[in-house]
Amino acid sequence: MVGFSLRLFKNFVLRDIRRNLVRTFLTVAGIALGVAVFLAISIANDTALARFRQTVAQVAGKANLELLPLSAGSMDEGLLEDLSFLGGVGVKWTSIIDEHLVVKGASGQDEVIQIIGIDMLADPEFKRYEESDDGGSGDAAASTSGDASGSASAVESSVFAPDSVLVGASLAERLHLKKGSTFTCLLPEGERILNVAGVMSKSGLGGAYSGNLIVADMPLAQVLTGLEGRVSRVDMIVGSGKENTGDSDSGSRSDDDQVYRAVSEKLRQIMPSDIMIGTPETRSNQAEKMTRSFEYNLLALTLIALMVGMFLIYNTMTITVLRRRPEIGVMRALGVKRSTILNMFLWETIFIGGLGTTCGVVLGGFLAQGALAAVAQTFQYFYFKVPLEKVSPAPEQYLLAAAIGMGLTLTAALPPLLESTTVAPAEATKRASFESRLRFMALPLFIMGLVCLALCYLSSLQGPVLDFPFFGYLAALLAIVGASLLMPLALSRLLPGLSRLLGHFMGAKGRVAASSLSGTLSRTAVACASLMIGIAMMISLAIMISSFRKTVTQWIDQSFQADLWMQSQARAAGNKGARLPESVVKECAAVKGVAAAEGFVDRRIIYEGMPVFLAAADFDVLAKYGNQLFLSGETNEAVCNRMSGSRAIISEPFAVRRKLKKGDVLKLDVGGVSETFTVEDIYYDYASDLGYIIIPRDVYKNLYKDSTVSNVAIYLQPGADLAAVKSELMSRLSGARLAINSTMELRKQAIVIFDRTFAITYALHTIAVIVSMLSVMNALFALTIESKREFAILRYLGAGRSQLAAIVYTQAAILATVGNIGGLGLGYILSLLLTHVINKQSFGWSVQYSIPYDFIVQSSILVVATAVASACLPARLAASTLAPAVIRDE
Amino acid sequence: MSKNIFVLRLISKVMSENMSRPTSMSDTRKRASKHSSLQCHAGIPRAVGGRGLSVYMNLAACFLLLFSAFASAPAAYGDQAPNTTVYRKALPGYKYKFPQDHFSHDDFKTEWWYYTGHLKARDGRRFGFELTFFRTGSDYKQGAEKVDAAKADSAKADIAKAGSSKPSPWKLDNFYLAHFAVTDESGKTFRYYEKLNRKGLKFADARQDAYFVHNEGWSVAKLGEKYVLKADARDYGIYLLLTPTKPPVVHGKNGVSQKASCAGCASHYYSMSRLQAEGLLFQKDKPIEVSGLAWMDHEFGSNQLTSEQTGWDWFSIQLAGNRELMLYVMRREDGSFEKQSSGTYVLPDGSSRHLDLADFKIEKVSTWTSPKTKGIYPMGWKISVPKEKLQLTLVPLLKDQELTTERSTGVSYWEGAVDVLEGAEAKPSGNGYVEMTGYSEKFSKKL
Repeated sequence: MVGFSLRLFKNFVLRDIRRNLVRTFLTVAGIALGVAVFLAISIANDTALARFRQTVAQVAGKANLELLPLSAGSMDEGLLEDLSFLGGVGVKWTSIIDEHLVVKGASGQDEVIQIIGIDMLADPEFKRYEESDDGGSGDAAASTSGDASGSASAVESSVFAPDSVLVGASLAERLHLKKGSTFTCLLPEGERILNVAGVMSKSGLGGAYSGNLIVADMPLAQVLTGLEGRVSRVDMIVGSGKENTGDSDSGSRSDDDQVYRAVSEKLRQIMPSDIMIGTPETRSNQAEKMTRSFEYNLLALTLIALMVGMFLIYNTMTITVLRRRPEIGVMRALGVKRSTILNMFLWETIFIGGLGTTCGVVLGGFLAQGALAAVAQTFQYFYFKVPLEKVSPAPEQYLLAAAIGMGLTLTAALPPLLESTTVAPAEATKRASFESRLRFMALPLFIMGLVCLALCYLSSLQGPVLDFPFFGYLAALLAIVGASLLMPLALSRLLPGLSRLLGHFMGAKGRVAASSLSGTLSRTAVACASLMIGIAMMISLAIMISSFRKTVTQWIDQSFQADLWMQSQARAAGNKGARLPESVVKECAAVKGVAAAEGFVDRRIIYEGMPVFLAAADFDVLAKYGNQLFLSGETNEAVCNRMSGSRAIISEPFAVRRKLKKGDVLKLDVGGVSETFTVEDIYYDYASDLGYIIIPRDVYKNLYKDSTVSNVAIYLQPGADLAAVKSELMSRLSGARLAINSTMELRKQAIVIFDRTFAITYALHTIAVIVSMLSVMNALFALTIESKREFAILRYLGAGRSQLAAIVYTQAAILATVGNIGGLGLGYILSLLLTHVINKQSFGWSVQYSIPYDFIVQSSILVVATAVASACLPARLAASTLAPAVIRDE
Repeated sequence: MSKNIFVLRLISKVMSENMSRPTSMSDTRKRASKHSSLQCHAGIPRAVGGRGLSVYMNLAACFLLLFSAFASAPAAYGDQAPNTTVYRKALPGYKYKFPQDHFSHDDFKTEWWYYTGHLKARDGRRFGFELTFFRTGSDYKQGAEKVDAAKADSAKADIAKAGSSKPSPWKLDNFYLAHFAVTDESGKTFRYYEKLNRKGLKFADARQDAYFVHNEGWSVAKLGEKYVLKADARDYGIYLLLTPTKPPVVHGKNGVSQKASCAGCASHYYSMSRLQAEGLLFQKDKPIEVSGLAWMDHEFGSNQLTSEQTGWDWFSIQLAGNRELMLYVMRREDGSFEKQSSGTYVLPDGSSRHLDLADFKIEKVSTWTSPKTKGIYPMGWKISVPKEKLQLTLVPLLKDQELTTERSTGVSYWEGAVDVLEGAEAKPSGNGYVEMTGYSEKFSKKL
C-alpha cells in the first residue's frame, strides 16, 4: 500500500508543494524547530551526564570496586587500616582524594578546579597519566638552559617535593604553566603557592575533568582539601580490573568473579554501614538520579515545542486535503483507488516531515552547543562540577530525534490522511459538504474537548510516577487537546456575531472577513488552535518563570535576615567544601555592633541512595534573629526554640521528594551508628532541589566530630554601622581569606544564580514565541490561498485591491485575537500545571502563583501585530487575484 | 652492600610495569624521540622528556632520591631544590649495640635488612631464597611541612591551621621497598617479587624501637632470641624461624665498611652469618617443610658509591666447619677494583678477621652471556684467601638467576645461589650467594 511511484509523487506532491512554497516552508520550519529544540536539549542533558560518567571512569581507571562514604563527603583514614587483607587476595587498592580546589586564574579571577590525591607509591595501575611533551612549546631553548642534568630536573619537579603537584593540560594552558612554574591556590586559611611537578597529557587521568585538574600525592592533597585524616574514597582493582581487553581466559575470569564477591562480602562485614561498597558506576548512577528531574523537565518542555510543530503539520495536511478534494473527487471518479490517494498524501507527509526533521536534526546539532552552555552552569552549581565546554552527541540521539520528528508528523497527519480516503467521487466536487460535516461535528468535538479537560483536571491530581510528574505532563497534553477540540464550536458561535459587529464598524469588508472565516471553519479552527498552543506555551512558561522568580525573591527577602554573611573566599569562589574554624564565629560575635553570629555548616551526604545536604545550625541564635518560613505556619521562634537533641527541620524539596512529613523519623547513619531524628517541621527553601536536613549544631559536632563552619551569619545591633563592622571583621580576621557580603549583595547574587538556572527556560520561551509566530503565518497563508475563490468572486463583484487586502488583514487580526484569547486561557491552565503539579512533583518547590501582566499585554500586542504584519504577503496575493482565472473553475 | 641494587630492581620493575602498557608506551616513545630531536636542535641535553610520567614518578621517587645516597655527592639538584634533608654519614668510631642496631636507623638515608639462605625439603629438593627489606629516607623529610610562623591572634591561627594538625599517614619520610626471590634448584626456576610503599596506613614500616620490619605482608621480627621471616607471593612463600648460632659480626674497620676513599663513602655493616632456618616454604600455596642455613646482612649509611664505580661483585659464603666468608669488590670504570674493597672471615667461635683487597683473589671460571640483556657475566669463581688458607670454587645452582627488565630501561643484574667447593680436591663445603651488578651495562649510566 505504501508503494512509491516517482511520477505520481512528482505530479501529485511536488508540484503542489512548489505551488505552496511559503506554506511548505513554514511547516517545515515548525517541525524543524521542534525537533531541533528537542535534540539540542537532549544532547545537552546527555552530554552533562556522559561527561560525568567519563570523568568518573577516567579517574577510576581500572578500579572495579570502591568504598564510598555515604554519611559524609569523606571517610576516616583509620578505617583503611582494616584493608590490609586485600593484598593477601591480590586486590590492589589505593585511597583517593577527589575534591575541589580554588586556584587563581591567569587574569586574577578565582576558579574552581578538581584536585585528585593519590598515593604516588600505589600500584602503577592507579596512576594512569603521562607527562605531556612540553619541550615542543617553542621557547625550550630559553626556558631549559638551567637544568643541564636530566636527572636533576626530574627531582626538582618530583611530585614528592613539598607543595608540588601535576597539572592537567587545559589548566596548564590557561594558567600558562609548565614544569617548574608555580601557581596560587586559595585555601580557607589563605593563599598557597604550588609548584608544577609536571604537566599531564590528556590521556588517562590527565584527561579527567577535561584536563582542568591537579594531581597530588596523598598527604599534600589532604592538606590542600582540608581533609586531614580523611580520604574521599577507596579504589580497588579486583582481578584484572575493568576494561578487560580479553587477554585473560574465561577461567581466570570466573576466579576473579569469585574473589570479587568474596571481597565485597568481607568489606561489607568490616566496614561501617555508612560506607557503601560500590563501583564507579554507582556514583554515575547517583548523579543520573540526582539530575533526572531537572533533565526530564527540560526535555518535557521541548515536547511542547514539538506539539506545536505537530499542529502545524496537521494544519497543513488538513488544508491540503481540503483544498484538493475536487481533485481527489475527479481522480476517484476516474477509478483511482482510495489506497492510491492515501499513498499520495502519505508521501507528501513523509516528504514534508522528513524535510523538517532533517533540518531539525541539523539545526539541533548546532543549537546543542548553546543549550549546553545554558544548562552547564546549572549542572555545575547545583549538581556536579564537571567541565561542560563541548557537546558530545551520540548518534542515538540524532536517531531518536529523527524518529520522534517523523513519528509525530505522521501521527499529526493521520486524521487528514484518513479524511482523504473518505472522499467519494460525487461529493468531492463540492467542498461545502465537508464544512457542513464539521459544523455538524463541532458539538461532539466540543463535548470531547470538555471530557479531555475533565480528564486533565483528574490527571493533575495524581502523584508522580517514579519521581517523574507523568500525570502532570499528561494533564498538559489533555489540556492542549481539549482546548483545541473546543475551538470549532467556539468559532462557529463567535464568528457570526463578530461578523455583525465588524460589519457595523468596518462595513462589508469586516463582515466578509469574519464570515469567510466562519465559512471555512475547518481551516480556521485548526489555525486558531495551533496559534493558541504556541501562545499558551509562551504564556505558561512566562507565568512559571515569573512566579518562580517572585517566590524566590520573596523567600530571600524574608529568610535572609542576617546583615552580613561571611565565608571563606574559597567557598565564595565555588569550593563548597571550604570551611572556617569555629572560633571565627566567636570572633565575629565579639565585634562591636554585632548582636549575634551564627555558624552554619553543610555537607553533602547520601540519604537513602540520593544526595542531600546535611546542615547544622545554631538554633538559639536562629530563634532570636532568624526568620525561616515553615509549612506548618508556626513562627520561626516557636520552631527554633523546640530544636534540640535529635530533632531536625527539613527543606520542602526534601520532604516532597522523599515523602516526609512533620513527625516522621529520619535515620542518619554515621560511622556505623544509626541516629534517628524527628522531623520537627518543614521549611520553605529554594537553595537546592536536593534538599536540606538541618540539625542542631551541638548534635552535629558530636556526631560528625566536625567543629568547622561553612559560613557565618552576622546580625547587627540596631543602629550599628554596617561598613564599620565589616571593616572591623576584615582587620580582625585578616589572616584568613574571607568573603564578607551584605545581605543586599547576597540577594543580588541569588537572583543572578536564579536567572542562570532559568537561562535554558528563557531560551525555550523564545523558541515558543517563534514557533507560535510561525503557526500564525502558516494559518494565514492557508486561509488566503484557500480564499482565492472568494476573493475572485468579490473581485468579480467589484471589490478593489485595497479592499481585498483589508479583508486579509482583518482576518489576520481576528485569527490572532481569537488564538491569543484561547492561548491565554490554555496558557493559564498550563501554567497552573507547570507550577503546582509538574514543578512541585519534580523539585518539591512550592511556588506562589504570580502572573506577569506586563508580559502578557506585550506579548498579546506582539502576536496580533505579527499576525497582521505577516498578513502582508497573503494580502498582496489576495489583491492580485484575477477574477476570471479562478472563477472558471466554478 | 649488594642490596643497593634492590632499589634499582624495584624501579626497573615499576618502570617495566608502566612501560608494558602498550598505548602509553608507543606514544611515549614517539614523543620521546620527537623530543630528543628537538633537543638536539636546541643543543640542550635533557634526559627527561615527554616520557610516561608515572615512569618518572618512580624514577623521581627512587632513582633520584636513592641515587643521592649512592653517589658520593648527592645528585645535583637545580637551584629550585628545597633545603634537602641532611642525613647522618657513616663515619669511623661507630659503636654497635645489640639488639638496638637491628632496629631502623632513620637518621641514615639508606638502610637494608637482607636475608639469603639455602633450604632443603625432606624429599631432598633444594631451594634458595632471598628476602630483603629496604628503607630510604626522603630528601624532603623535614621540608614537607611549611607552617607560616607569623600568627597574630588565635582566630587567625585557627584559620591558618584549619582542622587537625595530625600529620598525614601518607607523609613521605621514607620509601620502603622489599624484594623476595626463590631459586628452585630441582625445578630450575627462579622467581622474584617486589614491593614499594610508604609507611601509610601500616603499609610498611621499620621500627626504631624494636626489630620489626615489614612491607605489607612480608616481615621480619625478632621474637626472643629468634627471628621470624615471612613473605608470600604468587607462586612462593616462606615462613621461617631463624636461630642465630653466632653473635653478629661487624664488617670493616672501626665500625665502618668503607666503599670509597672519601669520608662518609661508607656504611655501617654487620652480618649474622649463620642462622639455623626451619619452617615452611610454600610452593603454589602448598606448604613444604624445610630446614637449612640463612645469612643476614644489615647495612645503613648515607653516601656510599662514587660515580666512577661501575658495579660490584659480592659474595656470602657459609663453609663446612662452621666458618663463613664475606667478600665484596667495587669495580671501577678503568677495570680496577676499588682499594677499599674488602671482606670478613668468620671463625667457628664467632670471632672474625678483616680482609683487605690484597688478602684475597677472585678469578672467574667462565662466562655466561645473558640471552636477554646480552650482558656477559662471570659464571663460577675461584676464590683464594691465602692468609686463611682458603681455596674455594663457587658453582651457581642455575645459570640464569639474572633479574632483567624487559624493556631497555637499563638495570639488569645477576643474583643467585651457589654451591661451594673447597680445597684443591674441590670437596662440597657449603653454600653461598653471589651478586653481580653492572655487567649488562654501566650500572649508573642509566641514572
